[in-house]
Amino acid sequence: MGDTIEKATPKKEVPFALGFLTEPLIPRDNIRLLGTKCLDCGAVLLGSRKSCEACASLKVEVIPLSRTGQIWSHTVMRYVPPWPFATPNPYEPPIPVAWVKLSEGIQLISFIKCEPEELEIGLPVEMVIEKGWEDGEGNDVLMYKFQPVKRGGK
Amino acid sequence: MDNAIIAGVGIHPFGRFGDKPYTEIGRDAVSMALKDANMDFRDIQAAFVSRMYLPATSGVKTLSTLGRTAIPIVDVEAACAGGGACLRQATTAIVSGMYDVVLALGVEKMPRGFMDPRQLYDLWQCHAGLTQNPMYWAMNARRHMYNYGTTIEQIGKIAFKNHKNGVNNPYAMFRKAMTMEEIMNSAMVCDPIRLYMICAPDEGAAAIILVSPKVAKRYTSKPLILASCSHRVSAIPFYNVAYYTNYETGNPPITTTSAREAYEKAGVGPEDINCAEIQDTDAFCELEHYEQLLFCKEGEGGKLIDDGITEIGGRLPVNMSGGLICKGEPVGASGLGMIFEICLQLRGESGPRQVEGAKVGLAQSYGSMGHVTVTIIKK
Repeated sequence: MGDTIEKATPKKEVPFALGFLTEPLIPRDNIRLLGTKCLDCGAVLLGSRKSCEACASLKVEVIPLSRTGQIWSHTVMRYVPPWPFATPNPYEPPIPVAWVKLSEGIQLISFIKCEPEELEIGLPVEMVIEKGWEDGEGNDVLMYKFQPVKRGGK
Repeated sequence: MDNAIIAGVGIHPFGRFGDKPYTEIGRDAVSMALKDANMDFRDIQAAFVSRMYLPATSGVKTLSTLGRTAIPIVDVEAACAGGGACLRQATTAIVSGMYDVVLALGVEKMPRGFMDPRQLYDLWQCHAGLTQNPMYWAMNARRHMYNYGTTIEQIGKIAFKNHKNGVNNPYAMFRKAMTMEEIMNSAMVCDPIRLYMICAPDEGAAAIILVSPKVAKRYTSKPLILASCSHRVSAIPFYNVAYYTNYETGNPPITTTSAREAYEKAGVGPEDINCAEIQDTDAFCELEHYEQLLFCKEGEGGKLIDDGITEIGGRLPVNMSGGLICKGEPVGASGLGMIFEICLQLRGESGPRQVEGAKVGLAQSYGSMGHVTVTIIKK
């Protein structure tokens, strides 16, 4: 009989982009977003950078960002976004999105895991890392999202 | 340094034209401008061509249909501000003394449906699905409503005004007036922005021929003065397509920086502007641009539309052409389409959408990743 047996390649987890997440990626709860803080003007922007985009200074340092912040503005996407999006599940509108402002003052675009009615400016939110999609090689791509901070205890 | 003079203007209507190649769309606009400037293509000494969704060397491919005359031809891209950026390159070529006759052409033939997000967004944003341009406009509107009490009705009124104006613009794609009910009940795209408050991508071209003052009389009996042409790219922060991070540095909006520069160079203030064509990719950004262009105080953009100031017949008519909401947005051509309308207005050739006695006009375009251009033209 000459059937070949295919060896399964182990699945890897990869970040959604290089320079945006702390490593290692395990355990998942320890992952933080990376930002770049300027030692001249104080601006903090998302991702590891070599220059300060706000003032062009070369005096920058890469820092892990805080996990919590507030909604600065928000909207709800009512349509499936254009190709090439690659989420594993069918992309089901309505999809909440916000500008989130973290305690360092940095602002970033994020999906918000909540019902559209819950969105409001000032809502306290916290970061989660989850599988966003699969890449071309079958790896799980880890993506950040924010969700309302749970009130009270469990 | 002398100002450049506008000697000829031309346009190909904005809309959808099936299989008509972009080279012909562009050629039609150039031919109209050449006729308007009483010259032929051999008079053009240099050309700048604004486009974004066309292949490399689109400028050469378009202009060579008129002839290969060994002139320098450079393609310019600055997203939706490409037309204004292109005009600025042409202006610089004239006022530097290097050329006497320069063409600024904008041409675009956009694919149907959503624009390919990979042109504007990083790949991870595409894969995640964070690529709907309207999400930015919607969040800007939401924040402005939170800060200043601006209402969705005020935003709707701007769409209403522009749809009404577009009826009288033979070069616009959409020429049907809409009721406030139709606008306010149209499909929600990104809360709170609805479908009839947003422009559509399409096809078109606009051409402006600039000449130096010393040769102007040879070509035109109705010269217009290009009093200033500012192009700036935003510092941090800019809350627009397609960036994913910001920081409140206290920098003013880039439209304001660009406008101040243009006003100063032209020796005028916002109170001297008789008519304006400004970016209304969505109806909210027109409102925001009223404030950023210093037509009114910060936060008072809603009051300007409530008081009818920006209607044709008001103190400062805005988007007499129907704006991008009616013209659609052929990205590379859009900014030059605004210039075309201002020129018609200053010449008294705008028919039923004419602003009486217009002598000073302003055009502003705003593009992805923070491009802005502000142009002031005088009779």
